Amino acid sequence: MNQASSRQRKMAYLVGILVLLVPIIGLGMPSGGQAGGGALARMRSNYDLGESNLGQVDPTSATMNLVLLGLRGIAVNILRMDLDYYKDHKEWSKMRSTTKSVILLQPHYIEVWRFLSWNLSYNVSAEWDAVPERFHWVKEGGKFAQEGCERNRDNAELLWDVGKTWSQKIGRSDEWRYFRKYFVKDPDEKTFKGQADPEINPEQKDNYLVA
Amino acid sequence: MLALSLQPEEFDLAFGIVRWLIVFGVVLVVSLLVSLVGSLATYGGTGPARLFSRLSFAVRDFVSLSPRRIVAIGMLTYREAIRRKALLTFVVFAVLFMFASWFLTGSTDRPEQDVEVYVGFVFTTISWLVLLVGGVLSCFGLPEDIRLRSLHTVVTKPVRRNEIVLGRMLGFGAVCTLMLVLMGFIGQIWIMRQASGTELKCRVPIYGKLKFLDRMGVETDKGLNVGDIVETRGFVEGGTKGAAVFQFKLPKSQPEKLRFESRFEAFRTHKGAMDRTLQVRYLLVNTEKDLRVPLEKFNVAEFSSNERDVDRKLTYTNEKTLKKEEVDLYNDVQQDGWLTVFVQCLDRGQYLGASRGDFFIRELPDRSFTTGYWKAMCGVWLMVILLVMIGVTASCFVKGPVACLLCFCVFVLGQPAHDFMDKLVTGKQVGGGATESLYRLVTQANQTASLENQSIEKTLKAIDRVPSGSLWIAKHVIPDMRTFSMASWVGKGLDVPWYSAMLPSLAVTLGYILPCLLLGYFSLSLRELESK
Repeated sequence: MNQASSRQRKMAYLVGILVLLVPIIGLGMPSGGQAGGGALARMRSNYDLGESNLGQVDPTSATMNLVLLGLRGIAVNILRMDLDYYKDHKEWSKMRSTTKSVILLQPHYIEVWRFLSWNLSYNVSAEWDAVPERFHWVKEGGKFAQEGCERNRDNAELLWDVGKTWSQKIGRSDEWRYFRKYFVKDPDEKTFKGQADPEINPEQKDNYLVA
Repeated sequence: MLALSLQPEEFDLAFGIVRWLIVFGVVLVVSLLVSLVGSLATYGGTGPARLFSRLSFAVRDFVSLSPRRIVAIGMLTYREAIRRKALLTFVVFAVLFMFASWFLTGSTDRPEQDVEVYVGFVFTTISWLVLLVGGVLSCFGLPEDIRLRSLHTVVTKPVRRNEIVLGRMLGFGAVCTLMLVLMGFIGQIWIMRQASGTELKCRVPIYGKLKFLDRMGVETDKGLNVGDIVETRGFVEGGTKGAAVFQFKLPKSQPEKLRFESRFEAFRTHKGAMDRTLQVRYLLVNTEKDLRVPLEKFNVAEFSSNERDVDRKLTYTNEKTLKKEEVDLYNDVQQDGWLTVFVQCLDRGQYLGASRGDFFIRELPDRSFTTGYWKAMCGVWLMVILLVMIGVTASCFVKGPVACLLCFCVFVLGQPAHDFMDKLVTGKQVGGGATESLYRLVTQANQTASLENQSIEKTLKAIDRVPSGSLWIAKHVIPDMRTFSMASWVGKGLDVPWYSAMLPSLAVTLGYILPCLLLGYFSLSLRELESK
């Protein structure tokens, strides 16, 4: 049995904590100071591995990942199952919001961005009968891939996907005659007032020039 | 936005009561038999006499219930729950609502569709928080009293055990109701703020019966399948005699104008006219008078709403005589108070999908959003009350953590697993029951195909049928929690229907009062209170 008094034990713990703090600070101090932060922060910066080095940082996404602790994988699995359910049951608004939630948890997983973007542009758009509605969902997919590019600025695949969506869906699909017109003059008159959607075509160009 | 998952199914109350009586009777008889055997084993020949004396004592306890004592215990329970800081849940609630807009705003880029997401978020948050608090409070209440011996002071007073159980249910129910009402108000204000600029609707639908006519005009129960994974809609072929036939019970008030509202789905087999959506026509039919009144065709607006007002006096062109004629909706078109509407697709080679929930007569005027919202909140309330009843009952015979686990299991089995149980009992489960599934697993046989050896398949199916009776009882003993979910109606701008949503939820909760009370009473009577 330990014969030390309660105070002695507490002092010993305190000394232990202080001793351990030295390497922890040395390793884990965040960057930003003049010294360039701790060893890990310097390495993250040197090898472009930090969250801010990968692209635009979304505070919501960071919060979600922090709150879920180690349960991110499970949460993503549940969300993906929900997403499939909503798609099978044609609950488009819920499917779209679930897509957004998945990406909050996996902001740098490129294949997720690619798959979900393709799902919106190619699968969901085909479910609709009205051509303006199909165009809306093609845009949703394209915008989604664009957002992925902003969040993962070093990734070329997503940029290629954006170009592919505008090129294939707007330029070569069955509805190309309508889609090309809509690309420079959005059918949603109420929102865009006869102009192109500035998120996908800010300079009002032809789709081939944008793709 | 009416999606496939929202289909009205009227609840048959008489059928439900009969089922309840069967299940309750079976469980009661089995419990009595087990008690009889137990009493014989424990007390020998005097066992049955002791058992019946105990039962007669129980009958006296139930006959002489005192509402005053129940209310007093309920109030004490309420105060105790407040003292245990149950209302701290509001902190979590407030945090969730403060940051919710980060995660939800503009999720679909279409404000009218966002309402569904907001409503879903509010109802999910409120139900999970209240269920959690209600479950924990009710499961730990009695065991904690037994541990602290405060229950000893209660049971030594002239209070019956059933009054303790009822009082506990009442008290915890009151705490949860208070929380639900407060959270409900905050939730409603939050939805209204988030959806400002979007009209929050609460339309009152009158749904009809649905059958189909095939391309030759022959009546069928199901429409065509165009390859949807979830086959809720049946499709009719365009440009043929095929039609979806809806029959509506007309309102007795005989309004001058009926509003038809539909949201059909289109399916194309070829490009066709791409500059417009498929064309649809309503045809009002009276078979007795051989009357067919076509209404003006319209283009289908998928997953949103096609509205059309139908006047009482209708002028149309008779298809046989090609002359203009006038008919009265109530005097000429209706048949015994029913209105028959054929829905036809006019584009040859294209298909129109319809389900029962896709077409209704909209009662005017609409109700307020608040009405629909609080009706759906009633569903959450009934679910919480049910969970509290189960929690209090469980805490009468097991300790707090085990009671919590039991509640959790009932909740899980009552939601996702109920569907699985339904399929097992009705034999619709792909791959068969337990034995057949095991055989398929070991032999790596496909789930959907028949087994090569038919005699083995028949034998396995026969073995699987043996426990189906007990599974049927289990399916009915475990509450069906899916009935309480009414947020989808509100999210889609519809009033919560009484027969399809409110009545079944009410019936489920009421159905558990007596069984929970009996189980709780006998468990608490037989429990050794000195044992912590």
